[in-house]
Amino acid sequence: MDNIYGLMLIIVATLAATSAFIWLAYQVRSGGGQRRKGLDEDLAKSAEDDVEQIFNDEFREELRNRGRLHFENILNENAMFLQQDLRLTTSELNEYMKTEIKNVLKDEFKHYEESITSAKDQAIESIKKTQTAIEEQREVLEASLKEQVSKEKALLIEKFETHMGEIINHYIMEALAGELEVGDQMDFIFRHLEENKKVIIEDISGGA
Amino acid sequence: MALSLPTAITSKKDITKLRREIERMADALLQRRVAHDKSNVDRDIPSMSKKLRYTMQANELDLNEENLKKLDQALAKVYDTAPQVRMAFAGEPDQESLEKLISWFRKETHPHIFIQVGIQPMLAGGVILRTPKNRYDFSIRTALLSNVSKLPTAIRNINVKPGAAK
Repeated sequence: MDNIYGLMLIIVATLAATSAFIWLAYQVRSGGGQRRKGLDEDLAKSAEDDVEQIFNDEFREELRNRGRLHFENILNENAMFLQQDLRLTTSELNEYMKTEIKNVLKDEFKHYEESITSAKDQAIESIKKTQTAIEEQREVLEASLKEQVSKEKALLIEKFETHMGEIINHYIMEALAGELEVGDQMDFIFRHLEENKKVIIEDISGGA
Repeated sequence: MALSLPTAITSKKDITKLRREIERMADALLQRRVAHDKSNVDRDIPSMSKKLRYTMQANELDLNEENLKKLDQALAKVYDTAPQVRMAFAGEPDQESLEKLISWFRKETHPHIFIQVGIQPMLAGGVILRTPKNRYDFSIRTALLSNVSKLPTAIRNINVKPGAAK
């Protein structure tokens, strides 16, 4: 603020000097011709001397220094403002990035979750279909097996009935082997001999 | 001599054994006679088998050399001329059964017929009779096989009471 006042002071002083000079020049002009001319020349020289006196090297150097200082101050202020702005911008940018990344991640996870759920549902659906197919196959297989077993059973029963007689005969003969005394069979033997007596007699008589 | 064979004599093998015994007996009687004639000693003669005794009894013959000779000759003739049948049994027949069979055959067919006995265990029971011209199968095996077709029906018609299978 002091710099601004100093600068303003310098500018006002410069303007005052310039105005004085211009008034003086106007007065000389409006005063007369020749005299004015010589006066003008004197005035001009005097004004020039005054200006030279006022705006001497030290004053100019002071002005330069003040100007440099002010410029540096302005630069510093601007740098500070710039730094603040940068920090603010960086902070806002970070926040923005965080928010955006969060949102993007959220969306992606949401999509991922949806795709997982969808895949899971498809897998369950597929498993259910497979289960249904397996169940149907099992029923078909079961029916086929039952039919096969029935056929086999019927075949075995038929075989058994066909060979049952031989089986039972074989069993009876095995069971009876050596168990029946000839004495116990005499009625059976004599019954057959009596039934075939006539033929037997003819055979023996013819062969004797 | 009209020979009467006892039922104890069933086969030609019996005739052979009998004839050997008759020969031994005749020799013994001869030796006894010679010993008696020479030195008045009575020698013992061997005891007769049942088959020889029954044969002598059936033909009302006393035991002497002449009778033994006649018997032997009659037996020889019968051996050569008498018919024979073969009977196969499932097991070895006892003597009593054989005598019953030979009695039937000698009564119904020929008085001097012989039976040759064979064993075929696979018959299970009964007999297979072979005559000079034919073969008669009276075995239980054949009887069972001939009625095989009746078995399924018979089994199906069995009424089994509940719990009776224990």
